[in-house]
Amino acid sequence: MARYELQLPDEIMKDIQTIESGSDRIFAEMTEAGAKVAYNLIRSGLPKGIASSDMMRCLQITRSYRTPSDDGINTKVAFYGYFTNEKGQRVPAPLVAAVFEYGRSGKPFQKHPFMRKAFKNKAIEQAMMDAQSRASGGILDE
Amino acid sequence: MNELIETILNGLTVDGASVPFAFMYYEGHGEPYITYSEESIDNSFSGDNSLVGYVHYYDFDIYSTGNYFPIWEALRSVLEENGFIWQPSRSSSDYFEPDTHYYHRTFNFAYMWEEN
Repeated sequence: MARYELQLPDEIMKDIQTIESGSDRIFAEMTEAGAKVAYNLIRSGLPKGIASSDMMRCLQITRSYRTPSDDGINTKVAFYGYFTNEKGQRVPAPLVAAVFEYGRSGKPFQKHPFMRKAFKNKAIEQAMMDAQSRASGGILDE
Repeated sequence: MNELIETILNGLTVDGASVPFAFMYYEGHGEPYITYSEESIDNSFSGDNSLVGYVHYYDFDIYSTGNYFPIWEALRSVLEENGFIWQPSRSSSDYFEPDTHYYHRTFNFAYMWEEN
């Protein structure tokens, strides 16, 4: 029987080990880079009612984290917590953001979509690819 | 686009009754209704230095004081029959307005528009 043995060069084996041991860190840095782009785009397109309010403190980027359901690594950009509005009422920021984004039945709350418009796939993907290149030391560039 | 949407929604019936609809705002008084509005335009395609086509993203908001699911099923069906594609990632979750007692949900659809 014909037999063929191939030994991979040490350099390639080291690269594979580097990627394997650092994959969580690489993915985390990629999602963080994408989240920062989305965060900046959200800030630049905020409706005046939010930009001038205390609600701005509630717009946050999370740490990167692993979701047990799909073993994915994620970083979220979202409104968290409560803020005090101009009437002195303490209100949940995610609910107010949703009212701006999707509107409601009353006239004073016509929708002003700003979150969905901020998720520009090309810009986010480019930032993630740049982060991948940095975090992997260029190993994954090709 | 709005003419196309209004033509489509004119034929929308749920349990034998038509559902009122309006562009952006409808002054409801407890009855279920639909509003529609453009959310954004994206992904333009060009050829020979001119615009060939682009994607319209439209929001369809269902307001109902009861179960909105039959309206959603009818709306989705009639829109998809006419070339609209549902975009779950651009659609909202369930909301309830305590002051009006309306349940509210936004469904986003994409429509490919070709320049003539």
